[in-house]
Amino acid sequence: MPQYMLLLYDDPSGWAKLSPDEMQKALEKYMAWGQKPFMVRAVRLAEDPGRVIRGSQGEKPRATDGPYSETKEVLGGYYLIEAANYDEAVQRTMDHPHLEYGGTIEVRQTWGE
Amino acid sequence: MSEGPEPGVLLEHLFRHQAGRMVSHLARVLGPAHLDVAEDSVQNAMLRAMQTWPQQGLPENPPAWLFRVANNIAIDALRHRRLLGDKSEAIALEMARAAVPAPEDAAIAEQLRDDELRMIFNVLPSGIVARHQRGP
Repeated sequence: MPQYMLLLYDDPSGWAKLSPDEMQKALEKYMAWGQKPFMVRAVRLAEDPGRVIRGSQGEKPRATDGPYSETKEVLGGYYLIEAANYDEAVQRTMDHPHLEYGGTIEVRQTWGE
Repeated sequence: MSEGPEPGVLLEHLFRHQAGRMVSHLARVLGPAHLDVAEDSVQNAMLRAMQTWPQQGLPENPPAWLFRVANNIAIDALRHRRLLGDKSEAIALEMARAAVPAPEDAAIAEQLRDDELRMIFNVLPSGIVARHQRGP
């Protein structure tokens, strides 16, 4: 079965507005979604700017801090799921709680197993 | 001993109940003047739970996990902001040394209730507290 990568973007500051009860509810929804049978892998990224390494021909690659401060939405994590095709991958992602909380999910097919 | 949550299931209102206790506890350790640090640390601990539990699964003891993380975040906040001037390092050290309170421990649970009461008195206008203390 083909695999699709779901890239989850959000504005991390949005979570601070939730009450403890709302936060717990969100946590439970995320946990429940992670139990779906088509789930292959779930990875959460640390909340730091990360590093960007740019290559340029003929020069040594340079590492710089990630582009965090200028962008509101950041990549927070990703899933690898199984789906027959893009339509099914999108349909399976539609009920992810991330969307309910205003986040964005990019769906990309991967090559190979 | 109170019963822990079933594996994979959180107690209803766990976050709300723990948030109140943790803020009270941290406010007692840091002093009521630093209530904002206490509140931020607790908020951030819950955020951290949201970010890590879905992938890593529930920790064995979610309340204790929240306490430990909130405590550590408060220590970091103190070290970074040095809000307490010369005393911040000493308090941070003291917090790091102190055992992390496990809420199911009866003695600690009592201490936490005391913390909550004390905080209620700290934030109430003194007139109300005085009236309350005099009794009906």
